[in-house]
Amino acid sequence: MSFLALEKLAKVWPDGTAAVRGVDLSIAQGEFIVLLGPSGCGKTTTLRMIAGLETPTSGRITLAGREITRLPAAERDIGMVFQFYALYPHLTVAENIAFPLECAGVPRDERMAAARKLAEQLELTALLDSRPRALSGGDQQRVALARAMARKPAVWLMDEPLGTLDASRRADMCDFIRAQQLEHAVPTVYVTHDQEEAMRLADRVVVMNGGEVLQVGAPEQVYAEPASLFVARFVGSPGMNLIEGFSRASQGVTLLESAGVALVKCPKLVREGPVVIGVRPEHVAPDPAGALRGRVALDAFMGSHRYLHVDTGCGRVVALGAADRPSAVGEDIGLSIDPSGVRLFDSDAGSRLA
Amino acid sequence: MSALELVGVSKSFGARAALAEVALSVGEREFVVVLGPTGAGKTTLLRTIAGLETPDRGEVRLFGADCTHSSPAARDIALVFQNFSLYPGKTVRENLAFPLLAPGRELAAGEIGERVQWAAKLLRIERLLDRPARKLSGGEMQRVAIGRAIVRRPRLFLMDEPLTNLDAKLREELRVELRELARRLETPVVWVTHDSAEALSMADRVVALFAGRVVQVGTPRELYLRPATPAVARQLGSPPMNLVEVLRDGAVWRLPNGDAFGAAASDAPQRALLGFRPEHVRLEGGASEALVEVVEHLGPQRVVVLRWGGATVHAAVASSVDVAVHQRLRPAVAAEHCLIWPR
Amino acid sequence: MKWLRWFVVALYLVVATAPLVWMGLSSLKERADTISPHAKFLPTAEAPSDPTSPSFEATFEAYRELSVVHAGAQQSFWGHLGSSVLIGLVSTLASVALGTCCAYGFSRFRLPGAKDWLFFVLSTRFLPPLAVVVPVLIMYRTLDLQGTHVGLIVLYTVFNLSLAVWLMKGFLDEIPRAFEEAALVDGYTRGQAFVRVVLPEARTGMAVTAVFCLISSWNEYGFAMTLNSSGAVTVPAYFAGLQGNIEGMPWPQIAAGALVFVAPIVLFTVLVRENLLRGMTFGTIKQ
Repeated sequence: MSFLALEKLAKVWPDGTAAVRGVDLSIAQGEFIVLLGPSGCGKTTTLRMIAGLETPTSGRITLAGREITRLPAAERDIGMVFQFYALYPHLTVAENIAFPLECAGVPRDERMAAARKLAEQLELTALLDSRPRALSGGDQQRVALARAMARKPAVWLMDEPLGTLDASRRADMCDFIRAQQLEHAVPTVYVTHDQEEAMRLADRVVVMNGGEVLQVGAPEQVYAEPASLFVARFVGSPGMNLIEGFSRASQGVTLLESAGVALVKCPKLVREGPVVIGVRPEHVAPDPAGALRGRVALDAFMGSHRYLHVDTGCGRVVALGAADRPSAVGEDIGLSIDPSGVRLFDSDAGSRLA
Repeated sequence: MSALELVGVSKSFGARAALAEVALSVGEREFVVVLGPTGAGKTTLLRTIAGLETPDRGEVRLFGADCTHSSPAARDIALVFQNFSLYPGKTVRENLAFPLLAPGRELAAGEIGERVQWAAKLLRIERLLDRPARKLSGGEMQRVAIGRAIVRRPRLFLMDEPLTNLDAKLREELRVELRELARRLETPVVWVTHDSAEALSMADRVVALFAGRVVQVGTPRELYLRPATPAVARQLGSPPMNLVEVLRDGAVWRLPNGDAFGAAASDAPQRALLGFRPEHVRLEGGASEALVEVVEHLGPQRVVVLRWGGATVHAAVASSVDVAVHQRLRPAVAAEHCLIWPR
Repeated sequence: MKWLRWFVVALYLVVATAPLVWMGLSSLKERADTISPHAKFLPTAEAPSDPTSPSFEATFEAYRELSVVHAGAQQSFWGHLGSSVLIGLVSTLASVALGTCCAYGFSRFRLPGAKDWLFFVLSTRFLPPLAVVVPVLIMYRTLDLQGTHVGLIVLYTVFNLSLAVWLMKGFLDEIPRAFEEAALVDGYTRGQAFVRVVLPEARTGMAVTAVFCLISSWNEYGFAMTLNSSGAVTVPAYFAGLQGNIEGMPWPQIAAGALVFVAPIVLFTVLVRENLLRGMTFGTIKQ
């Protein structure tokens, strides 16, 4: 049963550019949905239409069985968290957090107790009586987030709320948002360009590009089974290796070749012809006996592992290497591909073959 | 000879000390990343090297010469700002040529054109050359900003969080691209960031800067495995290192609620902060039970958030490992993977 | 809804332009028509036979007579317009130039007591200018600046300077410091960075400031009247001086002159309109 539903939602700006081209989406009660895509893909516009800050050109939005497409923002019972969120400088941190509850008519003691509880979860207790001016930028943003999440509306909408935070803080805040959302079961639509945030938070990820929804699915599904080349490249850090190649049937298996090298034998059968071979770095391993040979262009240490960027005859390929096995730049190495990780795409349409 | 050497550099703004006794040296082809949280003094450090700030005490040496009091123009250094500093009214070509038109650089028009072409080709922005800067996307702008820096062929590059304002995907691509570019140009780089991935994957050496002080200097691997302080440990790695308060009870570390964590050496302190990396947490064989609160799927790995003995612990396991929320398991961390900070 | 919007706009247009239209009509009349007890608002080629008719014979006589030197005046309208243009333009240029330099200092350097200085600059506008008319008059008499172009130019520049400093400081604060700092690191001097990087970016602000300064000095009346009897009489003072003219107020010429007088301001504003509009979108470059 969908709680929030978007039907053929579209937005065309007055200058004729289509920001959102017919988005269909259905969100269940308590679900965490992340709209993921590059800048300008229409994700923020979609969110703002749900919030009532933009009027759709066409399409319908229903919330809890009631059509809200043209309802003013204030009447929708929606909580919105922005990337830049100003605090009231004349109120203390505690009063700031409690402020939305005051509007909702919650008595003062309850308000303050709620603010204290949120502050505790965010390790802001020491700052409760300070004024926003005295806080660092990161702390201000965390207070803003606490304030935005103090009220429990029908839906939370979040527009890159962590964009301005330091990377090391961001992980903690992700945990906080997820914990709050799970505790109160408020359905949430969250917009980000950061696929890691999306993977962390989402029940379902909605990958968007060019105003259209490209794929909807659980994070691990979108990651493992991308429906198109765009999703394969965009999801994952680094994205999937995509190698222009050729498939040929050979003794009941598909032989994948590129630039004259037999890369891998694939048990799945696909039509013969040109294909794009997609394989994630963790399915490419340095292997002295590997058929694919190349020169290391960059050895990027990541802490628990490393990514080897290798220039091969069929283009740049990224392989996952062990943290304690560095490679020298310029070194010649071999790579082998794990057949279970191979995904095939149509080289013209970019759609998934197998 | 080092390209850059800082000796005891201090700088205060009013009562606030931004840099305290900073010492730093950068080799002639070295890529040094200065890592620290917002407000650690990273930007002040770069501005002092560039000559936009004068240190209260200490010395700035460039290629052996004392430059502490010379003007920014005399230093022949390029600085890429976090906030794009392109001139919006000028085209990309004019923006790129601007540094070459500075007085005292007397280059022939042909030479300027060639250098602009060279930089544009290197950064793959040739097709943007005649576009006004204000019509560029964020990623394009930052490419041009870096082009402006390389076009002069300076002796040293300073980069102030150049990727912070970009989309995550673009950030990841430029990280790789710029690291290779730096190697090709054979010019030393001082790169300032708060981003752990940039520090780990790009640096020859990492300088950890906290509250205006250099806390640790070393290769990314050294800092990752042996961080000098809990703050350095938290700043590096994603998810960052787990830090858990423990008490020693004979030969056992006890977690905040009294549950056993693991074996402790007999000469270990009574109270300590234990640090261990998420990838070193095994999900079985431990001495006490933990509850799985959240499971996150981060591509090749799975991050499991555990409630363990009153502490929150992150574990990173291969995505093939099966774990479910609300499952109870017995995590363990080998003693050799634990760092101990006495309390 | 739509017709209501059009109605409101049309109503406003009529109210706003009616005085100008009336002035335009008057400038085409004979003096007798301007003081006729019957409203005359339909210009025709021939004089109407009926004196109560709303039509009148249109003529450009008033525009030709602008070059007549009236009794009691030393110059024709055109001479006074020249004074207005000279004084207005020079004082505007001076205010904007000085104001920009001064504001740049306040915006970019840590000056001791900067806030107090800024307050002092603003405080020069606390008194209504006319309150100081007597001291200024005495000063000018001593310095022999009375009735000179330089006298009014200096006065208007000084009065507009505080406005210019404050406006320009606001605009310059919006220009990222990194702009000049990048140029400094690139090898430019502070002065060159100011001219080559800051000024082009501050164009919008300078245009806005110039419009304000020009309008205020162009229309200034009090000082122009008191400090002048002869040499540098600006148009507003000249019109006022026509009161009590032996031949009666030359209304058609005043109307014609006023139209001509308004034109340069309109022209100037239109010329810098691009910059004014950009002022509204200022700061849309990602920071």
